[in-house]
Amino acid sequence: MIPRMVAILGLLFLAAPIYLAALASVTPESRLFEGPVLFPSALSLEHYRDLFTARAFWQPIRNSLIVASVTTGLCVTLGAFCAYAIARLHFRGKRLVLGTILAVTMFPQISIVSPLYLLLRQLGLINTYPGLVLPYLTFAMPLTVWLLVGYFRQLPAELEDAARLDGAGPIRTLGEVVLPLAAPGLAATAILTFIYCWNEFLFALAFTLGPERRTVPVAIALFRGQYQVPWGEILAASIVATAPVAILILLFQRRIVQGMTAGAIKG
Amino acid sequence: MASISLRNLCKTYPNGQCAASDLSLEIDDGELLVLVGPSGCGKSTALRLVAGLEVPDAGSVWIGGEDVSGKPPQSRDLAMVFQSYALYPHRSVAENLGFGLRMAGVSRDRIRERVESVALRLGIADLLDRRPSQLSGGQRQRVALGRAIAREPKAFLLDEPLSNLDAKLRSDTRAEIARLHRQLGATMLYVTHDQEEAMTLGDRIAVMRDGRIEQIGEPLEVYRTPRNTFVAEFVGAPTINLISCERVEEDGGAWLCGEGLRLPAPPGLPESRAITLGVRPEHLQLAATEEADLVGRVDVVEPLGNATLLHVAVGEGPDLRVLVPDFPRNRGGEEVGLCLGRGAMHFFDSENGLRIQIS
Repeated sequence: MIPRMVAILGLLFLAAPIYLAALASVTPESRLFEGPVLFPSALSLEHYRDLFTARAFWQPIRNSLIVASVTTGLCVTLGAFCAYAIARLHFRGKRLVLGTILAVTMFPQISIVSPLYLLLRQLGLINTYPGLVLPYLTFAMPLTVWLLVGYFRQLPAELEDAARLDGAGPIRTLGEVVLPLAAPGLAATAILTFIYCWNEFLFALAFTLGPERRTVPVAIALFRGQYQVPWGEILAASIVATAPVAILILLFQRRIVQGMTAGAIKG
Repeated sequence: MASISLRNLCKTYPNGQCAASDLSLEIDDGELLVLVGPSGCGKSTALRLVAGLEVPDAGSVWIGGEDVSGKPPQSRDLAMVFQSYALYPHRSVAENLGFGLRMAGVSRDRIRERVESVALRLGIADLLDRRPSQLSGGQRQRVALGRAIAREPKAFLLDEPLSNLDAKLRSDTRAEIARLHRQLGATMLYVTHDQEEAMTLGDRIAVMRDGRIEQIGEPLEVYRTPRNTFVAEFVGAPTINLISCERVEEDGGAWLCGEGLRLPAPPGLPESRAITLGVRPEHLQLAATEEADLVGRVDVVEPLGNATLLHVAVGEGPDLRVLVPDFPRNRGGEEVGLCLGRGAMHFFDSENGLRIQIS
């Protein structure tokens, strides 16, 4: 009984802000500040309508989708090759490679914003999609590689031996045997990467200039004007931005947990 | 099919374990050779060296008269059956069987034909659409064998293929492998730690220890004339009795004396050296105590069904194992006399364990 109570309390604690945000996003502007309410007294979709008409919120969603998808695709593809090499091949300096990959994640983002900005400006990549994808890759790849190395290592090596004796070279072994078996791990890392890119704020703010390349978090942050904060629209945009991620996680939650705990115990 | 030749292979793992030291071995075309030895003796490493899954520090591997040392596993045209079966879990039985053919670029129709004929031969034709996870252990084993056969490789490598099966299935599958070997005329290199499997399956067996081959020969030849005490103890169940003895000159004759034992020394036994006498359990017979070579007390009675194994305590020495046709369990603790089969004794030099051949 008590564990269930605790669980319900925890759920309420976690779900309340989302519920209140969702509630506020459908409350007319005029009644937003009447005081906290638990049930809507009047429903209105005006914030959502404004969001997609006046604010052209489609543009940042498109930008975010492009940047997050491309980054995720590249990240998982490159990361899978890299992780497989680290997990299975013998080469000099393997520990150094793994160490370096880990070290990259140690830098606080804020510390490299300025140098990255200068670099991207030199390369003419400010306010472009590659200008966001490349920095995201550097941050998302280490996570991908570390997760996948763990995942590949727990696959039975005999399967790969068998494939090689059956006439498959290393690349075909990877494609025919290892990747299909690592699908849960790949899905988990892909989703984590996607979420990271979807939510990323600092780089997106620094490396974009106009609305044509702004991503969702930046666009939402820039909703506030000089004299007023359009809370209704901000919350509506937050709900819209949360939806794809929430759907992804609901669809794949079992795989994510599997993928993240892979190698922790012998299955 | 092709012959396999291992020439002076050496392999030391990074942790310092020496798994092959100057290992040389010839497997004739169509022969089933069994590598047998205790765990860690290097038998699996030898197999992996042949497969190309391990790279030797020195030496070479020849298949069908060709040096394949520089070739990766996928170019050696060998098939391997693993202890864990290593079936591809995400593919159906049919896809598992046809995987090697597909890698070799064989046409789809030809693959289907070949998969069906192999499945029929192994009695798994009705399982072709299943996934490995839906199969029993014995069925998985058959699929693993089928995957090896389907490719018609130059030779088969089998790494403890029966050790995950229960006793009944193991003996069935053992017979199956023997039959396949005969029908296919296949060259097979078979690794096991089970000496019974080795004895029953092998055209020849090679007993390994510490990365070396201690003895190689036909199973009965190895059983009857073990080259040293290690081989004598490893091959044959129940295990051979080894009795420490000394050659003594007394009363105008030469005697072999051990714990509770005094036998006329056979001619040709080197003088004044510690001798280990080896007698297999089936070559010890119960006798009346006054006529016996040895007298001991029955410690444990183990009925095996077709025979009974006695553990007989003699003096301070280790128990002797005696295989007798029948012995009532309630006579445990009794004193019995034992006679040694005169023609079936083995003599070993106690210092180096090597066999002393008596002409």
